[in-house]
Amino acid sequence: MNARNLVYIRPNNSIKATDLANNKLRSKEVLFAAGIPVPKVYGIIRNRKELENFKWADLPKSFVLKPNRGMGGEGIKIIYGQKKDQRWISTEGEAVSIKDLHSHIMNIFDGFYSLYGGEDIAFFEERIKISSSLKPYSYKGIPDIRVIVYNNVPVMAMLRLSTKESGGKANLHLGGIGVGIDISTGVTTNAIMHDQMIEKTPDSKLKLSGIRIPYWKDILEIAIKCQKTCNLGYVGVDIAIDKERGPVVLEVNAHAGLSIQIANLAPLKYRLEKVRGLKIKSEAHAIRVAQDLFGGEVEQEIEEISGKQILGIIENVKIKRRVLEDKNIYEKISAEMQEGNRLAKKEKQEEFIELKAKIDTGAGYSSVDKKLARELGYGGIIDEFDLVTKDFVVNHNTDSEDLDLRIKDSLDKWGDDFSAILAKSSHGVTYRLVIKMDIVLSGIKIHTPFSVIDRSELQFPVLVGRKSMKNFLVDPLKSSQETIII
Amino acid sequence: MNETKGVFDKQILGIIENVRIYHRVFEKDKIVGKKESKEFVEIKAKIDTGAEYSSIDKNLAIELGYGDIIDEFYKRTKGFIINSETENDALNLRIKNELEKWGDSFNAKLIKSSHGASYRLMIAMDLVLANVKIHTFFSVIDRGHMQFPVLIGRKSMKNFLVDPLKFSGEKYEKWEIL
Repeated sequence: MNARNLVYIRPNNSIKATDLANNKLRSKEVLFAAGIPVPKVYGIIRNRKELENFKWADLPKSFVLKPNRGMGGEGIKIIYGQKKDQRWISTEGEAVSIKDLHSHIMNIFDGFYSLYGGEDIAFFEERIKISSSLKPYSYKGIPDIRVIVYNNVPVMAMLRLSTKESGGKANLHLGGIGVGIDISTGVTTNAIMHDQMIEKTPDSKLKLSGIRIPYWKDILEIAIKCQKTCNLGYVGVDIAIDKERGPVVLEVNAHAGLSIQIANLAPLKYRLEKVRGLKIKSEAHAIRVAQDLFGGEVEQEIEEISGKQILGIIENVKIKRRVLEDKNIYEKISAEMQEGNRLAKKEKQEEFIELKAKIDTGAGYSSVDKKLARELGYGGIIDEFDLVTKDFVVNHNTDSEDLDLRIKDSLDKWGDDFSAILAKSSHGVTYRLVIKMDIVLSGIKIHTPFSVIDRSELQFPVLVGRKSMKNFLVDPLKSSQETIII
Repeated sequence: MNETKGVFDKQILGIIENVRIYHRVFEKDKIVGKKESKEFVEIKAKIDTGAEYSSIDKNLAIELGYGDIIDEFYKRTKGFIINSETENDALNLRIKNELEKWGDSFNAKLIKSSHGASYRLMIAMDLVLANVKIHTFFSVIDRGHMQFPVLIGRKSMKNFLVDPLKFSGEKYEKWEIL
């Protein structure tokens, strides 16, 4: 920490430039003027008078409230929806009234969250909409990518993910996850949480290495541009990927934290030394230098066939019946079955239902027929989902998080294996229940999400999409199974 | 084609691939001896094992030189009602003669999906997919509202494997098809 401050931050970051980075609104203005994408500002509140006169009705239903000189993500309130009673909902799940925001802004004024404890101002900005490829890894909040740029060269990068614990914020010291990124490929390497190595996300249990960050080259370019624009020698640029806008710069930091070293299992100092004094001609040159010096942690594009199972176009799958967690209910049901219905009893003994599935690389999610899902034991949940979503109107502009919020109570009750998605295709938009089920595909057991839809008109009651084919290859010629009967 | 090609000889495709589609070679040019077109369009295509036939956007096909036949086809099939009585054969007959005039690179097919049936013009084009050149039929449809103007179906992937995790296109973020 001291070495970083003495050798790299102080000599390279002038007081003026550091001050600019610490002033979020000011740096936003400067970046915007340089053509770098930043979140829109909805409103600034500088003093009590402005607070009293603020037109709350002008705020959109989702936004972020930030202290201008905050540090480490504290004092930031992320609002992602509005209830019918005009109260907003924060990512922590609490209802927020105007009064609550009012007192939060008063705290900001008093310097509760500001860098040096001095007076501060508050502002509202656009909430970045999470991009689909990173969404599953993040608990509610927006994942962001921090790139450390020194002497025009991106030296290290880290993906930061929010967790249940961090309350939707991606800051590491609040309990977020840091994932190291290979500079040359934009593929993630190691992950840390509370400075400990982890392999999977604590909430959704997804593997954290090998994630390919979209827009990687653009991200590096933007980070380099930011350093130039802000005139900082050593800078941490935080970039989020918006669903529609692509990479957007959230903020620039003159004092970027050092956890990034642990996430990358590499000392920053060594990398900074390598870049020190290099003459960098252009952005493209900078990226090449970075890729040559620090890339190669991930061996890219090795097409490994061995170890991957090859699927045909139609495969037999086994889907496990629902196991009720509550043992009492389980016993009750088996007791009921023993009473008379021998057929049902027999069925119960078969743990899996086996049938033919279509293997479809054109689909993201797997899907299962509604009737079959009922047979598998999900009838109650399907009924409730249908009831709760009965009046939902969806179209191409619908925000799925908005809908998720409306069925949150139901989802919470059911547990981790249940969620919902907004499925968009050329034929329309539907809001679907998603259930994680255990299946056996080509002899391999996987736990994978299925969207539940009416497939009774279709040839196969089960379709296996890309999300369920992580360790498989598909051979379009291999329609392995004998004859195809529905 | 060598159908017994082993797994290890097969090219692996990602979910999105850059493809080259060559411009139309007109019959009159073929007579002169010109068998292949040098002009091509390079474009991102969606690799979809769920589809049998490849398909191509109407406007792209027009760009590739098939405007006249597409116009003719739509003119002649306009008002076709597709039901169990007017199946394949009857429809085929009505434009069969017309298609024959155009050469054996053209065909018509009844495509059925869960969303209904449609009668489509099929055009065989030269395609380069993962450095392999193939001559394959595309069904011509309006893909204007889809993210990718070209979709590669199973019939065009005889010697390939598909890796659902592999992305070849650099910017695949935009793509969100379910």
